[in-house]
Amino acid sequence: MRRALQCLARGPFGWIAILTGLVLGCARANDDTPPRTLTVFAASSLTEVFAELEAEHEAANPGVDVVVSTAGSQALRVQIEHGAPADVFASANAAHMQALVGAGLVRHDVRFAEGELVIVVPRDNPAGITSLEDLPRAERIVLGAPEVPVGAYARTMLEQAGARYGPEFRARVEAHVVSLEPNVRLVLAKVELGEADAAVVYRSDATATRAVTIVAIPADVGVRAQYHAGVLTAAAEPELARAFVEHLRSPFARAALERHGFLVSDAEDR
Amino acid sequence: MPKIASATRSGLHAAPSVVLGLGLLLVLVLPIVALGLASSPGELWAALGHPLVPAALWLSAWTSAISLLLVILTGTPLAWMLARARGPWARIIETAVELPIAIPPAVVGIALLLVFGRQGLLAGLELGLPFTSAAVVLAQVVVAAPFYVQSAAAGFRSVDDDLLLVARTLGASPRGAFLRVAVPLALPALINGAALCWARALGEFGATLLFAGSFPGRTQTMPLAIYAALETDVRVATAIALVLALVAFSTLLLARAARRWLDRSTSPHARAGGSP
Repeated sequence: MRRALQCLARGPFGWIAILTGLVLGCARANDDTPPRTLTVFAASSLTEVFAELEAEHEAANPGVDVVVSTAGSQALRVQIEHGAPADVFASANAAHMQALVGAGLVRHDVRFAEGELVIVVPRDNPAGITSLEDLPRAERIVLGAPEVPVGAYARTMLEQAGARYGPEFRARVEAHVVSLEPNVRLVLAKVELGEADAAVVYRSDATATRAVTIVAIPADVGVRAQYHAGVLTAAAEPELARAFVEHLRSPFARAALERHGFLVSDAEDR
Repeated sequence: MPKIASATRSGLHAAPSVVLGLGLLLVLVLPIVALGLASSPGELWAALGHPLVPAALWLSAWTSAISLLLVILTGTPLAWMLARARGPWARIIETAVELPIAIPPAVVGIALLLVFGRQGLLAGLELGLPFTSAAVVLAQVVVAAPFYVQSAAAGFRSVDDDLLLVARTLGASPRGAFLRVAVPLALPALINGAALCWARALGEFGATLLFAGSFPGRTQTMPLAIYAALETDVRVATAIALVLALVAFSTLLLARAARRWLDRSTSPHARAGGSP
């Protein structure tokens, strides 16, 4: 059931799925001996790696049921602001975390990983893109909407690429943009389905699928997403939550994060 | 008002059923009322001027209008055939036509890509539909048409066969009997189905997002613009949603008024008599 929920929560129906998940989660908690439930709200891009961390955390803490709900960081932030009963919040964007910390809703904010942008192309690479410079060659490019972090980062990156490939580079790319998707998984899906020739996503998302080829972006124009986690002030299980957040920087978690395409080397306390 | 009299006689006004009915009414209406209370008139006005809204409102208006037109044009003959056809195959086809109501719209969007996408069944035709406004219309048609066809078929079924027979014996062609007897008699059902169909097309989200993507002015309809606005500011998103709700409410009210006007201007008897 957990996997099914995560799949749902990743898509545009995350809001409904999460509410359903909470209801089902509560219903399940009434079963046999009362297990302690740790509810983790995580950004969609963390879906796969948190599934691993969840399994490991449950094995290390018998009697603890970790429930991970994934959705866009903004959607999760709104839910937390409206009193959603979660214990841990993991955001793909520092701004959402800072807003919640500022409002006194989240404590113990920790930066635990970074995400770098990459270009993804379909396996057969119809537009023949092998570098960032080739990007304007794509007939159909898909980006994240400017309102979501992955879209905002992509724009910053394209702007910075102007220094290398000429000031009109961003405009040349944007002339081929056919869709501005509301989350990074939908951006990726358009390339996986072969409908787009290229897209800009996080390396961690691209690592999750075999249907795409990754084209790296030069480090000097790259933009890095900051992944933060913290404990909700209203957490029902504050100690468990604290332990989970601490654990995100353990050797096991760092290895898992790296395996899924995140950068952890220079991630540290803020 | 014979209907109310019979309802009173059958005891439908009894307290438990009133509570049940009002309970549902509350659940249906309260969220809309809350949406209305969440935005001040100033915010509503500001929402209209939001950078995403004018283009999205216009796109939603013309795509849903074309979708409705296409559905009426193609759905009316289909509903007629389904209403006339007998046998198990007809029922299986009719059920298949209703299926898009049950399938999650996002899945409908993927299914459309599997037909019209670059690697789809009809890829050879090179229609280049995805990411175009035509894709928006197609997504709306697939998701919304079942509501019209179902209502129209029910309307055509209620048309008395004898009346059609009389029209034919009086010299009307099959087409004439259909247009001048069956359609006028089923008109309330057709309008009802058209209103539902248009409302569903206007609210279409999942299939559009997957099949057409989201690009301002080209494929970003109101529901997609609301979702995009949700990423930055919930208050702006609710205000835009209220704009959409007001547009939908006034249009549905208009359709209802048209139906009542039809009911009044021609009693079933007068219509059955067949004005020339």
